[in-house]
Amino acid sequence: MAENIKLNITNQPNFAVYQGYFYTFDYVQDSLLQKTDDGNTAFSYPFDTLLTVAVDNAEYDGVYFWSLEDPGGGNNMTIRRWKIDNYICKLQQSFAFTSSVSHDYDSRAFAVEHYHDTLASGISAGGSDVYLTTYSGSSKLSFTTTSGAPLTIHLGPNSSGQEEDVYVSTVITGGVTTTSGTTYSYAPGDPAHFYTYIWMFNNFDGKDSATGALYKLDAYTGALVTKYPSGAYKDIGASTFYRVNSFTSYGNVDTLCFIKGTNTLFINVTASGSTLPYYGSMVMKNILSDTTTVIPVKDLAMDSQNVYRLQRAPDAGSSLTQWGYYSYVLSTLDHFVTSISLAAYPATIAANTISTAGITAMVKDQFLLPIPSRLVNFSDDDTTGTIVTTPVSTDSNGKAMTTYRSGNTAREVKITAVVEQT
Amino acid sequence: MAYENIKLNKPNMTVVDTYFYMFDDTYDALVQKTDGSNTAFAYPLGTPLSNPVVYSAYDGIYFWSMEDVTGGNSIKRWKIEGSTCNLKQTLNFTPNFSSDAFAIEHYHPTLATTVTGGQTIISMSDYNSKVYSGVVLSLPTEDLAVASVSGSEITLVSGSLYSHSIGEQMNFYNYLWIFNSYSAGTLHKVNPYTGSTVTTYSGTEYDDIYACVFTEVTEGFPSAVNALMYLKSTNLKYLDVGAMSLYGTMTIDNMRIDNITVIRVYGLSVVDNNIYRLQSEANYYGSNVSWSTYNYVLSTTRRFINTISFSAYPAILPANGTNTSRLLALVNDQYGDGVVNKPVAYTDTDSIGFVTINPAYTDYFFGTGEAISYYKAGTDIHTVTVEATVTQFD
Repeated sequence: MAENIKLNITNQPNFAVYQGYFYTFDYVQDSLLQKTDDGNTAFSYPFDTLLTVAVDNAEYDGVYFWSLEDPGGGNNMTIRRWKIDNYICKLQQSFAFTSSVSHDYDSRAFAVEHYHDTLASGISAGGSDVYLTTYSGSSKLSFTTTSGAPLTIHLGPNSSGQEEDVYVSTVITGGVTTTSGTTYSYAPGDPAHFYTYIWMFNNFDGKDSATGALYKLDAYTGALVTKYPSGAYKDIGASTFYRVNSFTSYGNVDTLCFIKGTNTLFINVTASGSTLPYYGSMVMKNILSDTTTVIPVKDLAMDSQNVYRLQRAPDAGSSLTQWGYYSYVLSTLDHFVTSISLAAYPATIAANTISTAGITAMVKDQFLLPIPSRLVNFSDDDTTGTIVTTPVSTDSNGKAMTTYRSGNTAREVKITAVVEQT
Repeated sequence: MAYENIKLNKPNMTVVDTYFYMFDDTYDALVQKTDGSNTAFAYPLGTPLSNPVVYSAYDGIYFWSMEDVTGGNSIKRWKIEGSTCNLKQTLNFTPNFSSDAFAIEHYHPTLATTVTGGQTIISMSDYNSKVYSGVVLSLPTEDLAVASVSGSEITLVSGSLYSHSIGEQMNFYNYLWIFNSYSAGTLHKVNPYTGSTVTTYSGTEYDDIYACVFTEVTEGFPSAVNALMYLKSTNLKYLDVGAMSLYGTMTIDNMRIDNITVIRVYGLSVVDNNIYRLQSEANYYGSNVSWSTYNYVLSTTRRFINTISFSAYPAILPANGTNTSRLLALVNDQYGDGVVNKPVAYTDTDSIGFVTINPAYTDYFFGTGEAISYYKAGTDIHTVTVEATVTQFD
């Protein structure tokens, strides 16, 4: 994959993707840059509050941009919420997570739990009943902050470009009643957004750096709600929150996604208990051509079914710094043929043109789920040895089996299996 | 580079079905690779590794890892649960331990009786004698802890939660086998549930062991055997852990072409009688090959022609066109046993002299591996070279 958005490695090591544009916090230009796919700056929004360090991670919740910074000078982190308003990127709120007797903070990835909905019915100005299409009846609407404040729902923009925040008073069938009437009118289908928690991947579990922990923070107050210790949460460089439909048994799920090594893992943040289960995991190709060195992913964004990974090298690249800039590399949430594993039983046979070995190919997608009904083509590099049957279709377990009949020369025979996404 | 396959960057490997698993302490993950070195999947470790994994094993349910720690070794038991690999148990072996290889003794019987919910006595199709109080029997839906065993009756600590059918697959492990090079070689039989040593076997035989595995071998012996296989230099030994005697020994080709330098094997797995050896170099058809990564090299438990030794009696004949010399080809497999009924074909460099029985077949009845033929002398005085070639035809 060629270089594309070319984000500066010092000033712009972060991005958020929204409707085909790539947004990055640039602490040297002191602006939120809106870039096109080819790296051109389509627009820029100056900050009303200057940054002093680079933003490590950026998120967009449909209304607000969020930034994660390491201010240096100890195990402290800062998360800020910003909003584009009248051509300026205005700071709305800052949370300083400072080292204390109970916690140290060292994070390179976070996500904001947020939900995108639309109005199920219109609201007249002054109206206080908000009916939602997707999340009506959801317990998420009963969210209260650690200080007791209710959930904030951002309505709009409406057809006139007007928008506002409303506050949930009570949950009713099909939606919520707000604490006061709306200022503007809204039509069915107009957007409604809300956010609840910040999820921060901390390289400390409290004060313990031996393992990491996932910190669940109130996104309105910054207060710690709970934390989930696990080595899986340590050294995380990229995460996001997104609605995913890749897991058949779960349907559409709002999930916290993070990259650990070569896999994106999808956490079910709604589960109760001391550990959080996973909806699933997805392998990616962020490995150098040596097939062993993992390419770090600096930030992660998802838009439609596209997964955008911010990297300094393409998949199967030659070095970890092959690119002088950060650019995105794509994965997909659609099920795709990702791996084919091949084995021979027995793997050693007589070179007598008679002996045979069973050849088994396993075809899996990026979620390690078997892919049925795909043709696998087998070939060998021996002039007299033969593959008895090819191509062979994968069965319900993703398995395709054939037979190899030996040649007449004692040698290592290479058998290749190729499967195509159809 | 030639002959590379899985390209592991860490010297540990476990083979399960068609996949190769490696503990990666750099990324704290259990990496699942295909034969072609692609990463099919990776399971983040729930608990980060503090040291590189020097050896690994798989018992059908759990992955096991061994690390070097101060004064000895640490063995950990892991399980893939959903998308992560979670630590279940840590056993520390200190002081006076210096191990590079271990194996987990494990069995895979089936239920011999129907089990109803709450039932406390069960029996298995096989291996009842391998079970003792404290062993945990794993069924697909639950684990059952064993309180006591009497013959084929296994009494559980508490009744099963669910009902189970006859023939349901079971898995259990009962002992860890740790090769210790700390003091001239010991083999430790350890209770894996408590970490306590059951028996220690001493002997240089167990010194400097870098690769071993516990597995069921269904080819190569008259009947299937469960063996602790360990590699001593170039000999792969099959140990009967019940009798502590060898089922057999096979030679493998982990030797450089100088025929002196033994190539280290870092991991050993057996799947369907394919033996996978993890190495950073190999001898392929008379050439040394070295890699910057670790790759598997294959052997097989199936008996294959391994060597042919050839001699003539007498070796000196008058060149009279009449005298004969008895040609003895001794054909052995990798276990050092004579191969049966394999054709040995002969050629000679004399235009008049000839081999009378060609091809001759190796002994069919007594397993001596001997193929006997005769050379009738020519009429010129010179050195005659007779070459014997044996063919594996099956």
